Amino acid sequence: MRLFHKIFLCFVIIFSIAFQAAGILLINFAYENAVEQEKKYALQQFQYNKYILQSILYSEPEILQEEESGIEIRDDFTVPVALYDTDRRCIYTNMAVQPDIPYFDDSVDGRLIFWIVRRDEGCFIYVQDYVRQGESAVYLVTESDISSVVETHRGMAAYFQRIYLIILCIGFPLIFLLTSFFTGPIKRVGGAARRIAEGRYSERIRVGTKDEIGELAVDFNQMAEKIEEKISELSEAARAKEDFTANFAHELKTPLTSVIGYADMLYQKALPREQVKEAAGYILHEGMRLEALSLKLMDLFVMDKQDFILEETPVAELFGNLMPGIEPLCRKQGVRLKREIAAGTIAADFDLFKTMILNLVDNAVKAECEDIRITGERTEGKYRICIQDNGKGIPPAELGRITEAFYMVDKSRSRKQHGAGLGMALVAKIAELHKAELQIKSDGRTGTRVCITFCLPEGGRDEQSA
Amino acid sequence: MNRVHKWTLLCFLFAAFFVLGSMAGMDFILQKRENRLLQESGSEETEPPVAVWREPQADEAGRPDVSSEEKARQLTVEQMEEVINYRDSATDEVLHDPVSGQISMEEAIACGEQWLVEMGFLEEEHTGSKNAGSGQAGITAGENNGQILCRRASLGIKKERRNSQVPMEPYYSFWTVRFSGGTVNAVLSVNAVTGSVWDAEITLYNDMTRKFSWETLDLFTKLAGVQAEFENYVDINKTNTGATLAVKDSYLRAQVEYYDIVVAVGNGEDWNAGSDEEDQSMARDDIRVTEYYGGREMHRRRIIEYHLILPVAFSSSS
Repeated sequence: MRLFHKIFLCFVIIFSIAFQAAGILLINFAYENAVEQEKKYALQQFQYNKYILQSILYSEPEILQEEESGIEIRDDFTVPVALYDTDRRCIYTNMAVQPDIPYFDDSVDGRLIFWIVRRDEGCFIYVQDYVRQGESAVYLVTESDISSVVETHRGMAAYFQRIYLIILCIGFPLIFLLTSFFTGPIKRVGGAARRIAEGRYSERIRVGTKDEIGELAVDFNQMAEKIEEKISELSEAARAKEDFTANFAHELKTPLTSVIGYADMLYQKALPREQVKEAAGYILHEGMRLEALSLKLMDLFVMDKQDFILEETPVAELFGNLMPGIEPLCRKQGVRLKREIAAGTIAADFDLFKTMILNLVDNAVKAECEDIRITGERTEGKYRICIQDNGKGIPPAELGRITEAFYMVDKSRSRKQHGAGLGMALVAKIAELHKAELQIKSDGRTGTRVCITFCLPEGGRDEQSA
Repeated sequence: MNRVHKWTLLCFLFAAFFVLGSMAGMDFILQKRENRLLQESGSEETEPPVAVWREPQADEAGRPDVSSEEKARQLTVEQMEEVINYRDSATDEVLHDPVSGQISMEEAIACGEQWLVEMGFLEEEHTGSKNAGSGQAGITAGENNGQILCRRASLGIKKERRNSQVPMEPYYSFWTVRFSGGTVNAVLSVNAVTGSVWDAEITLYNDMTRKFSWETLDLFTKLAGVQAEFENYVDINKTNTGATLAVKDSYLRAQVEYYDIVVAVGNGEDWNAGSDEEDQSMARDDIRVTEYYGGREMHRRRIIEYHLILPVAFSSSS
């Protein structure tokens, strides 16, 4: 059974029970009140006719001593009456049917005996009491017809049932529509969930209301959005891994092919000394490339696995320790190095920081620049280190991908320079470990500017504000 | 038919079954309750709607008041005003048996007959109570010999619906006594405590010359038991068919008015449409036509009404 059916049945059951219960209570209340009113009216009628009888007995006291067959009495009574003498013998009646008297009560205690009788011809309230007037005494019974009340009650019940059926006839389609209306959005959520399960992650639900179902739709859309994001991230990660594996295989294959080729040549043929030297040089070059590749890969993996402790160190001190590694490299390539480091302290792991700066300087040197300018400056709670060169630069279209592993802008040049396409990936990873922001700017012609923005530790900020 | 449609069909069937079942259930329950209600029997105590009459208090010295019985049968003007004001505002009448301190039916009839005699509408020897039990009253009532007979007497109290459960003072009850005779019919409202007549409607078949007079209004007020002097003021209406007597230092008024009822037969023309002088003279305030079949007068009777009243302004302000 579906939710739609359950809601529909609940509507019908609750409505029917409520309507019928209200009907029973109302009709019964009205009926009891009407009968009670009729009873009071019958008692008043009895009292009135009792006075009529007493008036007759007052003016004609001898009337009860008439013939055995019954008495002649002027018919002033407002309702049918019956008179019984003290021997419980009916001496006068103008009722159509004589009632069965439950009992005769001759005590004068102000209590009237009443009983209700239902016969084929109608329903009646009988009231009886002992009436005295002077020397005369009789039992007076009055009859009040309450058939109209019974008929009214039955008519009311039948009318109520007709109203009930009419309301249901109108209400059934309404309940059906309402149920469809309420369950429709739930159906739409289910449909959207199924489509997402089929792989259509961009599926969303249109939110039309602000009720619980509207909230469910909003939550569902948020969930779908997160799932889409996660799926996208996972797909990207899987693609990156595939690329990484493919690049890695390719980067291995290229030097190994050269190495195997030259080694085979050395093995197969007796070559002159110059050619042997050239072949060995190739093998050495490609071996160094493989070594650099394996070292950087090892660094990348190690960084993912290892926890680093960042120590607050003055930037000037960091660069002071770095320069002995940077300056020979620049001197060797004939590159002028300029350094402008403002005072400031950052939280950094020295070895990682050194790897990051060396990679950036190495890239700048490989870009065949003439000048490298290293600056360090403080700005609003941050410390920014920039390395700017005037080399070949990076085409703007490539900027987004240069932090990918094995990505090389100029593959042939890079390989000649023992590059493996992992340097910027390492820089990006180290920046991420330092919670620093990496920015690379280049127009592809006049050099490259790489900036790493560190957040200043609390002490560093105080120092700045002081 | 797929599974969803099967369930939908089942739901509709179940709903229809439930609806019909609930209708049958309602009929069954109502029938049961009706049967129980219409088999009711027992005895009902008829609580009198009035309290018993409180005995008069002893005087300050603690001596019993020698005239207490007389005082018990008298109401102050304020009490009478209260009663009349209440009667004017009440809607229902509840009949009840006399309670302690209220007069019996025999006493009420006797008071009524005495009033008729004192007001001059009846000779004392023609009263029904003189002949009650003699076996003659019922026979003589229908004959045109001046004999009068009580046709009906009932004790009732006017009640407001909202105060129907509050017992009233016994002097709020009145006996309504109807007399009929060959020459006069009377409907009297007799106070159930004092036995005095507060309202009267007299129908005269003979002695048609009787009109209101100072003396009858004065006498009516005295017989009603008004314990106050009268102002020397009588307001007579424009057609000389009614008058009102003011009671001193009170809003209470005694009022009398008379009019004739004419029964006539004739050719069916409208009474007021007639152009002759006789027809015009019949369209007066003192004549009320109940049946008219032409110009020939068949029967005429005179109605005289006495009432104790309160001005409308007093009634509404109270």
